[in-house]
Amino acid sequence: MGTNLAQVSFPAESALAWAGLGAVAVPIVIHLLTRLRRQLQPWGAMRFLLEAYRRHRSRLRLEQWLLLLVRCLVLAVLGIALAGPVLTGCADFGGPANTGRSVYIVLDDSLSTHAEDLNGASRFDRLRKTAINIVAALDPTDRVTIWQAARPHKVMPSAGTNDHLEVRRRLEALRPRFSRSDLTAALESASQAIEPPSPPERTVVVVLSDWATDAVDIARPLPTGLTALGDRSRLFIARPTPSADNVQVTAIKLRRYLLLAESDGSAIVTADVTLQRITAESGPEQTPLQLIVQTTAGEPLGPPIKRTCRWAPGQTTATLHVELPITAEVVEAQTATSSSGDAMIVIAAHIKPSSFDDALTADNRRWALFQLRRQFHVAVIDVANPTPTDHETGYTPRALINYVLNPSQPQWGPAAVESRIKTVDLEPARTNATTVAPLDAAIILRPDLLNADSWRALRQLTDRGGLIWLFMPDVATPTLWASVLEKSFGLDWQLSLEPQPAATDQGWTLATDATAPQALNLLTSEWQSLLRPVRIFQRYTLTTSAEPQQIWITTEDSQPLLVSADIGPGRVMLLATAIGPAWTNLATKPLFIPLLHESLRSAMGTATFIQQLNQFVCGDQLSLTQPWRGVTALEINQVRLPVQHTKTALISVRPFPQPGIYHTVPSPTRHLAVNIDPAAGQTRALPAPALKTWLDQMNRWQWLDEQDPAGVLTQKIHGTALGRPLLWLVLALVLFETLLARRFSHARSGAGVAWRSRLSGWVKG
Amino acid sequence: MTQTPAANTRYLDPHTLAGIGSLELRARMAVEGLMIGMHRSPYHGFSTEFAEHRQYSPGDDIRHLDWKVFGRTDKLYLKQYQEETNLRLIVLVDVSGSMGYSSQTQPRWRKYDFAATLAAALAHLALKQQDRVSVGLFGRELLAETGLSNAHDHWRAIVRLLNSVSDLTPQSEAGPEARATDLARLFDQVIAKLTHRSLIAVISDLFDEPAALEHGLARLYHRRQDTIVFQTLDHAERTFPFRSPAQFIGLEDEGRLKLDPAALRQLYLQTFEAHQKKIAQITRRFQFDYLPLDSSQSLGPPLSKFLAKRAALISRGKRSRN
Repeated sequence: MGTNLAQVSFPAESALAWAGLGAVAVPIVIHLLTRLRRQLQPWGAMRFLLEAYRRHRSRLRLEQWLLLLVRCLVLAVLGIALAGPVLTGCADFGGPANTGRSVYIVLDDSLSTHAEDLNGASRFDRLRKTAINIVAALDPTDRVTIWQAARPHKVMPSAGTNDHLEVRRRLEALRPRFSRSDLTAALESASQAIEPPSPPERTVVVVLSDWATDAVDIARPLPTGLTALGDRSRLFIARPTPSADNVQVTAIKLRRYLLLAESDGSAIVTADVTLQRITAESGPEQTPLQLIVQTTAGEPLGPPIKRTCRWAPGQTTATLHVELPITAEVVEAQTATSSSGDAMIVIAAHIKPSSFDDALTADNRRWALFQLRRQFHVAVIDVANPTPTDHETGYTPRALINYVLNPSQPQWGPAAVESRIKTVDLEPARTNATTVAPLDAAIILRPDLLNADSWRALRQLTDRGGLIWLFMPDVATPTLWASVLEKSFGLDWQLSLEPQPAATDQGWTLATDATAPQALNLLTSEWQSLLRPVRIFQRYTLTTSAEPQQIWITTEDSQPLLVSADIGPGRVMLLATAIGPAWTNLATKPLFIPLLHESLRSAMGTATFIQQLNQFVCGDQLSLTQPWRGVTALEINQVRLPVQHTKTALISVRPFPQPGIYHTVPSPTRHLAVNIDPAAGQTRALPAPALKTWLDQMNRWQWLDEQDPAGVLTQKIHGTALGRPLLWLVLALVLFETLLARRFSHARSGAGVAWRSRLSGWVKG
Repeated sequence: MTQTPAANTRYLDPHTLAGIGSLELRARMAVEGLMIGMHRSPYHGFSTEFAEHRQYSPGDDIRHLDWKVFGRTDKLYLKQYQEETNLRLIVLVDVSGSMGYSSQTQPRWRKYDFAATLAAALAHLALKQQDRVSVGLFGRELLAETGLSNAHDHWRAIVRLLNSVSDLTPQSEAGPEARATDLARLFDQVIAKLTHRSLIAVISDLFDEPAALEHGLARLYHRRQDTIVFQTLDHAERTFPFRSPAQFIGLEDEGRLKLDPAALRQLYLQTFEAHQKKIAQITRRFQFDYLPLDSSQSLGPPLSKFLAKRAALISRGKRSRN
């Protein structure tokens, strides 16, 4: 394979070299033309001319041939010099040219390389075959390192090895991954791996990628570590693969991630499913979609729902709104096995690749986890024997709250309102970590009686995703507890020490010009009518610099009345008035029941901690703040992913290798969903001019000849640039030619003669 | 009418002479210009032999007074030369092919034109002093000649003969004998016809073997014939100014030669100079006058200088070989 001979090659401008060699003919042609077109000159003193010619014929011919040779040489060398030749294989490189090289192959194994062509071969198969061909053509003394460019990029084991057989075996066993490309980082890593003393002639970098849109961000400048890669090595780039059609599920967004069963025991999952269409030419006109609710083990919990997305011309994304019912029996069966009455359920979306051209099937599935609850546990924190505030009915605020949350009492509320919320009474003094632990929410009527342990326990509740709703106490004591609230939750809520009565008996009305807050969007259509009958007779002045969306309700004078703040995965709410007819008529108005229920369900349903379980994509490493104690690994399809516990998080030692529902090990009680990054499914190729511009930043590079990929090794290594020395040689030849021409023509300038004459005269005195 | 030196020079300028079609007029202008420029008659310049004394009469040129006789006899006598009365001038003009060369194209001024003008001028000078003159044309041999005469209209016959030669190119009607020069043969022919001592003026480019010239001049020398060799050359033949590749065509049937003249220039000039040196050596050996003339230069100054120098030598008696 290798050769020890010194050779001259023309890497880029061989046409110029040929042109230079062709130009050798120019003086010959001129010579012949001048012979043909000689001027006729009648001459009297012919005898002297003939005599001179006869005496010097041989010398004249020699001079003419010498001049012609030098002139031809000038043009030939000039052409060769302009072609930028390089001398290769000479002893300057310290040994044979095609041996002992360092070969770096960056192989793109990202999701887009799963895409298949019309012959059924995937892009990855083609790239891998190219890599294998290159490795097979290596000299035994060559060292090879292979990078896998899918995110996160990594070096194939046995880096820098001479064991090419092992490298080939590993390449043949390699399968493309499910993450997006991380080619730039892989190239940077390869660039850093090039040893500084390594001569560029002995360093070969081959980049094998389909150059899909996700491969590199061509809008961003090249990292500085790559700008000189082409100068530090012989850089070969695989040509971009043509674009292909692809349709993918890019998102499943659930309205509630913690779903409470309805009063009849059933449940309805509401979701928005987003599809994306990537088209090379026209693309599919419609996409059939199938959705199904299933267990974390993949067992269906009901019949699938089929929907069809019809694409308008030019449309690339579409969102389908779906509702999937879960029967009461299923809810009962799924929640019965859990002591807490909940279960993790999966909604799976699947594009059926039957009636359209879809180059990539790996991104046709997507999963979303949600928690199904049979009951919410809510504590109403009040003194043991509260004083009735409504002297006519004798109801205390705690009783009112209980009735509203669980309106099974015939005298309160419509019977249709379900009673899936289990309330418990809790005294402030008994509010601690133990009593708060089983709760989903706490409604606090006497925050003024909570001690430090109580506040810490409540903070733990919000950290678990729970809801805390604070009402102002119906007592005449100053609100000294407000500072503890601010400190415990890091809130910026300043409450006045004393309540402020309304100026009139009519009290304050509520501002109805605002829309319902996002968490209460189910009440949007009736929001104004629900607010209108409510009156506030006394209130505490609440001052806050919170965002407007955290102020849910204000009085007519724009004073905040109900504020909300997300604390970690949980939520804290504060009503700046107390429950009681002297404070407000809210408890007796239609707003109160839906306000309390929706606040509770939305706070639970937002369930940030559950959303966190849905945010992972292939190629990510687990980083979870959930206190999953005793978990040693995650597992999917018998593939185990070890995890480590840190002070603040749970992390995995490797990135997620494949999409799907992972369960914890050793106890498979907890789950998380890992999906495919939508950006990874881009099957459209980068625009060739833009890619070329991006690659040009690396200076010298060449397209890889896919018909002969091993040619990158058998090509002559760049050697000493001969262009400049040859140009100097041209200059010397031109000078030599001038001197020869002057000497052979015996031309003497007048100045030269005069100078010699003066010199002669001076010598003679 | 007074002529200024500038006007004289203009008369003798080859460009001026070349512009005049008539050889007769051309020769007259040359002679007039020559005489005005000399300020004295070149009449005596051709005399070679002292003959007798004659008594001085007013108006005679006092330069020829014999002061020795005056010292002895106290009487004024003039020295009279024999040739003043019976000088025979034979002018031989080369009409070989090489004399047809002219590097000057507009107007064309061949070496022959220059030689014919010179011959006519010499003849005119001689006839003006009643000397007998003959003009001959030669190539390989003597081709044509006028008779020896000092008749008043003889000059017209001379001019007619010189005018009869118009085309000297290889395509001319002249035979091969007219193409080249053979000086040895020419002098043999001329000597055969000589009965008296004569002054022979040879006007030629002398493109012949120097040995032939040497042979001919030797015979003239032994016959005690005085000879003047006028060599007419074109400026280009002396400098070889060509640069572009050309095909040279010999005017005396030497054939054709393709070459790069710049490459051969130095060698040509060396060969040419060697030839010229040899000519000069030969003429010097036989004590003959030799005057190389450039046809592109004015005829007057070198000719008048030459005649004045010759007259001075004669007056000092150095020309006499007796």
